[in-house]
Amino acid sequence: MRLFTKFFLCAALIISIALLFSGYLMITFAYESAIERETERAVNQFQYDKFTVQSGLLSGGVNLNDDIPGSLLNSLSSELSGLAVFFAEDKRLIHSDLAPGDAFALPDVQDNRHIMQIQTVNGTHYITVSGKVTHNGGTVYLLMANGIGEVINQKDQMMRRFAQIFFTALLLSMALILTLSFFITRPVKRMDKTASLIAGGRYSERLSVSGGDEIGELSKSFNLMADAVEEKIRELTENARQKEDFIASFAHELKTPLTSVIGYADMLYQRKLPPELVKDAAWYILNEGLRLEALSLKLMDLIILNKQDFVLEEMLSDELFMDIQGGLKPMLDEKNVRMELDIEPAYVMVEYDLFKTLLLNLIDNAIKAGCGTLTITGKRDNDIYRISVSDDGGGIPASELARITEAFYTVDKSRSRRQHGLGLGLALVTRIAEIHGATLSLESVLGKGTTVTLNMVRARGVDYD
Amino acid sequence: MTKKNALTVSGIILSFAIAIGGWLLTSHLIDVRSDKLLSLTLDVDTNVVTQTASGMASPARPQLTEDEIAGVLRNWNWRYASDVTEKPHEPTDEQLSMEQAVEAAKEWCVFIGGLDIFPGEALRFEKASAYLAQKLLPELSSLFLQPEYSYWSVSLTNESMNARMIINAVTGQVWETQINILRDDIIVSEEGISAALDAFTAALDINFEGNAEVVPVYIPNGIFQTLAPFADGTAYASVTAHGELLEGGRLRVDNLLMYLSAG
Repeated sequence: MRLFTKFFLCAALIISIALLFSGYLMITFAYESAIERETERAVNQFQYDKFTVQSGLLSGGVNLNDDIPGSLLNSLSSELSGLAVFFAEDKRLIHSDLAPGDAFALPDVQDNRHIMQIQTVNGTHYITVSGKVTHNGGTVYLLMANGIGEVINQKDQMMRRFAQIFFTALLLSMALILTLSFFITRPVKRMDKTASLIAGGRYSERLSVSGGDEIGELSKSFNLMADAVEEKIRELTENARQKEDFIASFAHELKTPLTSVIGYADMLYQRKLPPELVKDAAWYILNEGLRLEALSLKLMDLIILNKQDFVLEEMLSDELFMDIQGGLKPMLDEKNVRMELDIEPAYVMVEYDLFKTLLLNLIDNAIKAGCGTLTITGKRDNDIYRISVSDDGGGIPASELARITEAFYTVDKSRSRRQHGLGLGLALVTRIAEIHGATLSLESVLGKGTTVTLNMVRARGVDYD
Repeated sequence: MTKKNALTVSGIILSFAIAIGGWLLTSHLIDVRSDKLLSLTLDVDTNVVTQTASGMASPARPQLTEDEIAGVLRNWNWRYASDVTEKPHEPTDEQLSMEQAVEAAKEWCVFIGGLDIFPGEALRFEKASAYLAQKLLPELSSLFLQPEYSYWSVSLTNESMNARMIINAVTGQVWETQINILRDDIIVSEEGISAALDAFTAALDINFEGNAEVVPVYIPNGIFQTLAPFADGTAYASVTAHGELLEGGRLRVDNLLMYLSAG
């Protein structure tokens, strides 16, 4: 059922009940008050009429045990306030102001009582009050009747007027509700349309927010949700693209050494070669095998990094770097690279092996970039511990910086191949930095060198200088 | 027509069905209420004295104190207030019956006849009408006051004048008399009015200071008025004559008022 229909139904129900209930109360109250007023007036007036009859009997010196002269009754009834009916003591009708054939019923009137009744004669309602009039030991019954047709007509008029008011008010209310529900449901319809467009792939669709009411708030929330959805879709698309690139690069990286291995192996199998060529072929097969091994190890590292939860430990930075420096010395000496350390001591939260892998990859990249001097600094900056690895190697073109952390991405592919580079180093570094809650940034000037900066959160231990 | 549209149309039809059904139900309920009201029977206790006692007013009627009289008069003064209801009722055993009240009124006319204002035959009345009532505030109209607050209003008429007397229902004393004169031979002097006041106060057996004073004549309206305050100042008696002022300081009387009033 449409929201509009629900509004309409509820409004019709509430307005009808409210109007009818108040109408019922008003009409019955007015009607009952009018009847009550007429009753009280009739009872009071009856007492006056009774005194008038008694006075007349007194002045006329009538004995009620005898027949009362008709002329006296006519004279008396003309002085009374309504239609008068007289009954003798034996309840025989002796005078009536009603037309012949019409009659009021005399109720059973006890001494000291007046009986008020509403009686209907010829379709006309009358308030009748009956009582005994006693005089000189005799009794006569007096019944006085006053029409209340006006009161009943008034009630009928009120009913008719109320019907007009009720249906007019209802129609006006319905028109109002119709207009209101149109304005209330319009933004909801717009929201529905926008949601359908977003579901259809138009993620940039947004609602126009107007007003600070619930609908306005809902529109804001809807737009925030649409922002989040769009951002998530963008991330997912980017991830999917990266995965596709990864698989393509991986297939390529796998195919290249395998082609070499298969080619040289086929050559060794098909032909009898001189020992020098056999040695060369074996070297190529060994070299490409080593590349495949390195590839598999790095991939394994990446898979492990994506799956495992690591426990970080509090360590002093200078001790950490001295230890790592000791392990790197043979490699640096072999490559003829000088390493300078400028480390301010501070407690940092690290997983030792992973962090060592991170630094080894950064240093390996620096060596591959042909650096002569490698500078590693560690500086405290409030809650941050900033580690920089700078080299004076060939540097990276600015256009390549954005993609340098993608897996299998290499700046100089031929040089990388020569140096058994896989393009996975910085991807590993980025992942390890994430595991440490650190941020990674790269600055590079082509021909002058590259600086990789790692901002880590300091541990709560007490530092010393 | 889609399902949604069908539901919408059904909803609108249902709304109007509710409205019309509600209206019919309300009309029916009002009719039921009306029928119930129209079949109402009310049994009213009238405090009726089973029959009017015959005979003369009892000479042993109790006398009220000046304070009590002033209290009753203050209540009676409400007669002129618009929000006060006059409630007729049957006499109780302590109150005069209608016959007694009419008889007391006629006796009072004989007394007035002795004041030398009216010729003797002018105060003979053939026709009488009377009613007994109390003055009640609307919010208290269902509660009657003490019997002495009731009054008989007795009207006597003949060809040349009509008289209306307000008689205390317990004491039988006439505390207010208003005589409208339809003939033009009733003439009084200031002294006659003063004598009437003296007679009035003497008949009431109330302690007056005895310093009745004649208020100056108002011309051209022609009003003679005399006042006699109660000894405690809570009420006063007055005789006032309205009419045409004649030469020699006499008044042709159109109506004569003889009454007690509070304040």
